[in-house]
Amino acid sequence: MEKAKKTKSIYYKFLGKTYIKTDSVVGAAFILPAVVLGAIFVIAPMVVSLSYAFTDANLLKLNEVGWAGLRQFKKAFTDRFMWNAFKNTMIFVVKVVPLQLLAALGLALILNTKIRGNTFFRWAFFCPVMLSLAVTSFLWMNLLNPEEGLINALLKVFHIPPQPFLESPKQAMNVIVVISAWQGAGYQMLIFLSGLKNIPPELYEAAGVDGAGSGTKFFRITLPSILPTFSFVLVTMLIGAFRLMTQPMIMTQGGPTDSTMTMSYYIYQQGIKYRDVGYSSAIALLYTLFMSTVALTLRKVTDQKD
Amino acid sequence: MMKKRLTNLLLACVLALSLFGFAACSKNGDELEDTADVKVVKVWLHKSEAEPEGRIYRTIADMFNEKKLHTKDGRTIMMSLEFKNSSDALDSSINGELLGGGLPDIVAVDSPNITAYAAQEIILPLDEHLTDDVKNSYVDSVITQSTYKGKLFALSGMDAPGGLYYNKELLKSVGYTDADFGTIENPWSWKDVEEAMDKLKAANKTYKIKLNLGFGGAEGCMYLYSPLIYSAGGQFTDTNEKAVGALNSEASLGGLSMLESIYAQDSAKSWIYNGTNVNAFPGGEVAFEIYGPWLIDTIRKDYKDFQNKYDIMPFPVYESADGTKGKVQSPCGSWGFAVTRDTRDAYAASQAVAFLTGTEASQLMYDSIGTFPTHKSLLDNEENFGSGASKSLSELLLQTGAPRPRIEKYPQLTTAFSDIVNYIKTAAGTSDYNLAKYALQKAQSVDR
Repeated sequence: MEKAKKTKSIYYKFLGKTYIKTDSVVGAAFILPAVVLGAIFVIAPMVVSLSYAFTDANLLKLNEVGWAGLRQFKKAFTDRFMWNAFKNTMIFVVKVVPLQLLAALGLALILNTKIRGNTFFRWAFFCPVMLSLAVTSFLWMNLLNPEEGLINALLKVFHIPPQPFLESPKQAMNVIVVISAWQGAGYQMLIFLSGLKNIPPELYEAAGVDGAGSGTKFFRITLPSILPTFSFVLVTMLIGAFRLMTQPMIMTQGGPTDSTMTMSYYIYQQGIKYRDVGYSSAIALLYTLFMSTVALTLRKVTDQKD
Repeated sequence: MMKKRLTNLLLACVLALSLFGFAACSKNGDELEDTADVKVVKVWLHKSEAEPEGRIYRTIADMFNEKKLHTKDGRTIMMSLEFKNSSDALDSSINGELLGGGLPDIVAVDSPNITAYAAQEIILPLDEHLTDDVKNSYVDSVITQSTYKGKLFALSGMDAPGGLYYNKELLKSVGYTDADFGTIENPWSWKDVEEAMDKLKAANKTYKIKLNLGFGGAEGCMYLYSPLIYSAGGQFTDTNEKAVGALNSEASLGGLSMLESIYAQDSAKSWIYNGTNVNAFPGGEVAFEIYGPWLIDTIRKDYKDFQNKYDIMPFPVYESADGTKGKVQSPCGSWGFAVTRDTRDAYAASQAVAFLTGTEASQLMYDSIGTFPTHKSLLDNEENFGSGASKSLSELLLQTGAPRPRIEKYPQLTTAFSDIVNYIKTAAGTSDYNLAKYALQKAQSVDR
């Protein structure tokens, strides 16, 4: 009787399932910091930003916030500089996602073979991920200096005229695309690599017996097997690309002639630099809705294929 | 099993507490508090104590605390510093405290921000707490840039007059004499600079100019190149603080065309230095450099042989097609200090601002980091400013210092101006280049 009572006090039921009380307490204690920090630094700012989108809030007079209704949204739709930032962001996304995806997959495929120095290459390819974006941005700025940069010195060896790179409206965004792909590919490479390691080698052996070549093996076995990984990498990469800000902020300040101004940087500029929090929040809300729609649609499409 | 879980939980708590502990300990400031006999004046700075400028502020605070000045009710005023490490971090801290009322007594403020802070009543007028003698001690440019609607809101202990550094020895080698170099009365225009570069190039001498267009981002661009507009008689905004019609006016575009000219021809002549050597001028890589006062200190300390081979002339002026030259306008302005609306004793805080920017502090700054003093008496000092480049720059500051525009939408304006200058840099001379159209678009972005 006593034992049954004691057992009952250890367990409790919640939504039809039985849990151990102490386990739940320990579990809750572990997630509590994340929940508290998430609520303070993620959820609360989102709610505040959402409410500011309908006001004329200015950073210097947040105690005098007036209702603006949909005015900030109307302003956004007629703001040519916002549309320019949107266009630049789309150009970046369209260029960087395939490049980075292919680079990551290519590197993962190379490292999945038994080559000498595999561990070193894995470390080397992952190295840029560990470096801060600000540090690599400054590093690349020096390498790309039109007059004294190493890249132009190398081009000179091949009798190619020096390039303006970040100082040219036509080249600056492409340079940022390449740098971003270089920096980010190592992380996705590791995810792809873990997906590749999970493919049973018997599948390749059987295909080999059936006379399948490398191309057939890749398209018939490798690619379908890593499709869920591929989908995950694609969506996270896409969201990351939509949020591009550090590189243009440090390397070009959105220039030359607004050619590298991105949506995230524009939102930051309006809200923090120009102190127009209401307008900045309105653009942020519109942009979040756009990004969510794209990400969810993509997820749905790739899930169906899974 | 249970014991292990509890141990893990305990470890997690210790880790969390340690993190909070570290965060609490990482505050970069003094821990002085008010007592019955002491009134603490808290100051937020945009620098780190590890930087030379930060260390000077510490010395100035120590000097102030040794003076033992008193509040109106007889308490000793003590200065307490909090180093925010960067201007962005200082801005964030100020923004964070605007709602909560937790601003310190004094904040460091960059001269162009004074108007916006004053208009939003974030900082208080100093006039009633300072005597006329104190105010009259400062150079006019400091008073002008710190005045909003007739009231003085800030003071600065350092200024950064700028001009055109030129290699006297090189220019003399191609026939120039001391009488030919630009002065306030008879300045060089951009065309004169181009002509000199042509002569140097023809004689196979170092001829390039370092424009420092990337110096200090958008703000640096406004600081160094606002004289382009002023010299041509242009304005950044009209009296209603509207940029359209002013920033893209004929006069303003005329001023900007001076830079346009040098960039449009640059691909053929390679006039502009694009390298990364910060000491390209004293190092002999360029013949000219547009810059502030900091290079004087560098040359004095590290390029002693070069000391007598260079001088500074006024920022090149506008020159119209008929050869009429514009007025000399010199870059100037720097960080100062203002009393915030949350101060607990405006009088005590004003005395601290006066000391932080006073003659002793100003001289200390000049001696240590090479910024120019902001007091007329210090600029009259023959030993420091009686000859050479220092004399030239001090005259420019006293007679031609042109503070940057003072409008509430200054952040938008400075970005727009920097974008226009960078447009000239990257597009001048190309087929689709249209400065008037681009300047109009940017002016509209300010007014929007």
